[in-house]
Amino acid sequence: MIEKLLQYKNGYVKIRLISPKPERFLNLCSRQGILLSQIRPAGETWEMQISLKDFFRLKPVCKKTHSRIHVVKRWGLPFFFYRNKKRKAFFIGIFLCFALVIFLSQFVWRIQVEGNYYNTTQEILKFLEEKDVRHGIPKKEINCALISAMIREQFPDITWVSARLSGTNLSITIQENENPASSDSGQEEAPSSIVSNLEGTIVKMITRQGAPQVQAGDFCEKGDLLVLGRLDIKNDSQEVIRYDYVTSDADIYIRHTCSYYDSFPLSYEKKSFTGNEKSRPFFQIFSLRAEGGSRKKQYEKEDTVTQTRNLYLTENFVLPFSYGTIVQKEYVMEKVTYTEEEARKKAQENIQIYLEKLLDKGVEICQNNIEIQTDGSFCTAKGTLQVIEKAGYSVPVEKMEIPDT
Amino acid sequence: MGKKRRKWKEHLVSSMEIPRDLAYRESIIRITGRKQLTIENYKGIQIFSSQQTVVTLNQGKVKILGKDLEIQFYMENEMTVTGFISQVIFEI
Repeated sequence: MIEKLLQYKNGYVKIRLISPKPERFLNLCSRQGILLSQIRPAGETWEMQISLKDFFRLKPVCKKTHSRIHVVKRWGLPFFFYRNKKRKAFFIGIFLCFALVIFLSQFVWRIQVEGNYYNTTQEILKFLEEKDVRHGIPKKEINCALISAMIREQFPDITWVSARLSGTNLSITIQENENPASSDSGQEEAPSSIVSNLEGTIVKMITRQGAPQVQAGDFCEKGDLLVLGRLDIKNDSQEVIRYDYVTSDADIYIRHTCSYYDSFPLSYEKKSFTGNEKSRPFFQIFSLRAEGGSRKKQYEKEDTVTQTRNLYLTENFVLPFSYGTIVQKEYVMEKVTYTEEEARKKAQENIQIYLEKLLDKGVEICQNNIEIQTDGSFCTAKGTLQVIEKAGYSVPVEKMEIPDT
Repeated sequence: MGKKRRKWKEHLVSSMEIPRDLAYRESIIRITGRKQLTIENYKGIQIFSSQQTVVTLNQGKVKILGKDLEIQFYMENEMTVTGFISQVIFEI
């Protein structure tokens, strides 16, 4: 493919060779480094392709072999330009097109935010817009380091930001703090104890900092002290001489029982699409949108689905034009009733979603005692789950007076 | 080249595992299916028509018989013949 493009760029011709010794002609060409291709006999003559540059080197070879050559066909840019040399407007158009592409490539046409979970993309884009970083801004006005710093300053739960310009795309990759309270540097410094937020039996306990007050196998209630952030420093006579305060850090797993309740009516209203739909195209330049067809409501009840496609010049070069279709779909509300089997299946699905959410949070499920019942109008799933969960939250340590010794 | 010298060269070539095309300038002929034949290290073309092509090698000749033969590329060291190849005959 690249070879063909290069060939086209440099230009090449198809020639007809009339020669008493065509083989000699070929051999002489190869000796002189003239590349011939697509050589095929055509009656008494031979046809072949040769690059434009090599074509002008054929004269001595023709003289030696008493050959004559006719040009049958020409391809390539040199011929194209020669043929169209009078069409000035055409070349001006091409030039303007390239100039426009180069001009447009000096601006940012897409801002991409990745890695955000707690802070929405819209929120971040709105903040950037307030700071004059918006779509269509010249690339030279973009300071990636400053953007990163501004985002970090505005959103304290964002721990790491990377702003990168690639083509006309400003890519912002962020990393958020998943547990903002526990890793806040200010709070980490302050001495604290860990108190239980669950009621149950301690299964496992790993203390990294602080004095553990309970051990595996103990039962604890809500609010019970698990790890104390105060260390008693004693002398040889086992008398407390001073207190050291630390930020307690421990992984405490508690087995406890939690209840589950889910109820939903057996009859419900469902959107049912009739299949009637009307679509109309649109074309958008910046925020100006031109729509085809009528904008009024087509059906009594309808859903509108808009499909937009951006125009890309390269992977990262997004042009400020977009097009797509607006589809208005008619629907009617239908009253549907679950059969007992369907209701049980749905209740089971809800339970599964709940359990998966628990598993995602790192909760281990030991026992599942959930029962599903239907009573004609409602389906109810209730019961208890026995789970092992990471427990404990930090509370400040009460400072004590150093005892007199 | 004497017989002894030739033998010594053969020994050297085989022990050093030098490819024969480099050591003796022997031709490499590669046939892909029945539609393409590539020759490297040849001297020149002796006869070329749509039914037969005779190529002079450093040692002998090779005759390619077939139908609708044409030369895809013709360079100083390599040439590719395409078409429906029916026979490839080596001649001294």
